[in-house]
Amino acid sequence: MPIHLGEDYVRPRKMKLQELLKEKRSSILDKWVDKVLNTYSDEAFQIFKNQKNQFANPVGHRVKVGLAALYDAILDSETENRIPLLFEEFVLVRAVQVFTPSQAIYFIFQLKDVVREECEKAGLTDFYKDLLTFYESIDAVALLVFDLYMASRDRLYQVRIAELKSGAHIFTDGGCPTQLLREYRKNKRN
Amino acid sequence: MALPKLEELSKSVAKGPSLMTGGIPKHDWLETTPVFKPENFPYPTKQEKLEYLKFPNPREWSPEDEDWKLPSNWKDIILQGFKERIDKFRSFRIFMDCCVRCGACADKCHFFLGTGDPQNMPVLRAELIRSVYRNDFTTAGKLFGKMAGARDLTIDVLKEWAQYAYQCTECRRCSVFCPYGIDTCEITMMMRELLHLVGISINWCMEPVANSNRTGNHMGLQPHTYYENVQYLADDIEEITGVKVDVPFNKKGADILFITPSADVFAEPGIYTCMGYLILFHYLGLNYTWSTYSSEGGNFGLFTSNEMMKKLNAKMYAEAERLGVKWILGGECGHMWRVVHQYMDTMNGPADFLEEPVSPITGTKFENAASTKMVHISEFTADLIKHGKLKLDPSRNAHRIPTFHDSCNPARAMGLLDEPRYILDHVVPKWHEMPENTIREKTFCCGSGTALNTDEIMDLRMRSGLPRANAVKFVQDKFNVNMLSCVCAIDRATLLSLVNYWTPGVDVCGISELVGNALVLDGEIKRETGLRFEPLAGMEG
Repeated sequence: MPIHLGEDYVRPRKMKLQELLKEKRSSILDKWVDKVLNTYSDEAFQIFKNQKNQFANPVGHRVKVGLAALYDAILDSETENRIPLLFEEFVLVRAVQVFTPSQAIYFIFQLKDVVREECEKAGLTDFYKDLLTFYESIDAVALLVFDLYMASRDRLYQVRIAELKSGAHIFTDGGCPTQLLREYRKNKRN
Repeated sequence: MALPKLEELSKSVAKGPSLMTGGIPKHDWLETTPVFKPENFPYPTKQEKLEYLKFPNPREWSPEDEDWKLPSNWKDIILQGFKERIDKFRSFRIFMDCCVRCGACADKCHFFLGTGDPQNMPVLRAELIRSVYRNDFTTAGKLFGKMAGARDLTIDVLKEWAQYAYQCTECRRCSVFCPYGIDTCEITMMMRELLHLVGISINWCMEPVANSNRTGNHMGLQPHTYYENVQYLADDIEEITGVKVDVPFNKKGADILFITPSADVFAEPGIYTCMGYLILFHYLGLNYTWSTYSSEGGNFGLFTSNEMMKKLNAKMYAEAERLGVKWILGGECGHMWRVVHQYMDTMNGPADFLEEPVSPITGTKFENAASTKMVHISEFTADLIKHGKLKLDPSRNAHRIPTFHDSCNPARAMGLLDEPRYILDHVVPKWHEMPENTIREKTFCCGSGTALNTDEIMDLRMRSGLPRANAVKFVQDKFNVNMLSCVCAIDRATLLSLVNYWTPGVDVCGISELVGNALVLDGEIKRETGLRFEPLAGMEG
């Protein structure tokens, strides 16, 4: 005869999404990081994932630290609209790597998949409202990440312009460097 | 049009070369097809520059075009050149033969660490050419082909060489970790040499080479302009210190010939380093001379071919002989020191018309330079400080909190590790080291050496410079470091862009600039600004 243990024992305890996100933080982050590292080559995946020294592995380090910082910021309703600096450091990396813009920031949506999978694993299926709210916050963050990505690109162009203005371009622009240098110094003095 | 699924969007770059960016290949390295797009390859050399230099196959072309306008027998030319080089350079043949693919170098390259592109692992970059070596020059390769890691030299293979020979800054960090001591840099050098045989090269390298050949410096500055620019710097020094410094040029019979990269004479922030030299030499009353003919320390021949390197290097020694100096003092340059320490003696040595360098101030014999007769400014300055010959006021650098970037070539090619640090100890109130695995022999490259410091590949430069910048970021956050000091002119130019992207708020300087700031001159006025006309600490109001 089956022993009656009460509802709480036969089914996973009902958990609010917010609690699950906190409880499963490390497992969710691991999977999310893996998905991002998967956008690199297989060889790079191994090294970026496993090399613990941040100076020997700047990309892997910035992925891990940046995503964790963003994750915590999303969970913390107080700071929902502020992107953490550590995460900005990570977007700077994506912005100069070999990705199209959509590829570069697609990872933010992958958090939805990871969280949904965790929910299913935990047997949580009847909390679609919570999930929708969470998805909305991801969408909002995605727009902020888009801003950040563009800001990174903009910074890159500013760096390029600064280099051109520094006069180094006379290297390859031909013309008479003597004349150009005279004009440059004259303008600088004025 | 059918929209791709979201998941596919993130994957396309990893699955094959992306149409948009020339992505990172995920399949076997033997079967990749290189993709050339704006921003992933420097501009090719202008036709007129190759014509002037009498280099093969001058033409207008673009790496993005299918047809690179190569001679019809390009393959024979390359293979013939290959054979000549493995016969001539024993080291090259050994490096082709002895790699066991242990992978020690794989994660040491800044290009790989910043891009994740496996072809940027030094071992695989070398395999690009090794596979052809096996195919055409080894029995195993001829018999077993692909099974023995051999492959035919096709046009795609050649294009791949071009792509990756210019995604290596020949910094030699990987060589530090290679148990066989393979100098991967020399493999890149050979790849570039072979590519030159059919007219594949980049303008940022070859225009400076042409200019150096013509007027003696990268910029193509003529003697009067070069002279004028140094005079301008002397004027600035007078404004800041109240002291007029002499700038001797082409002075026959001087004791010492001073040679520095021309970037120190015209480009910020190198000019402040140059002002540091001028102040130091004035302070010492040194009997030295500049030269308007040997007006370049840099030698882009190193990034071109051994013959060109030899030719440009010879100019320095020819000028030293013409002026009748005793020895040569070299400024803060990177690859000049690699050429001098590793190649000069066998190319143009021995320089027996010069004397073994002795400091006229301290009497120190620079035995390390007994053969090349050329002393580094940091060795020279550190020796002066050690003997108490310099009156220094470090508080004049109190507005700077520097860290020190070991420039690849002085660190790894000549072992200049402690002298700049010793100088820093005495010219600034405090400075901070970056983490252990990013300094000294293990220093990370700026990411833009070997003539890759051109703006059209800025994205590439930023990702290859990430490992360096990441360490700078660490000391910026931890110690409020605001100055990245170094002893290389390419560094001074390229690190500036690097820090502007990754660590805004950090500036770049040469060590000699800090020396110039700290050095107390006889008869000077009270200094209110540094050499950049920036207010000193406490003078901001």
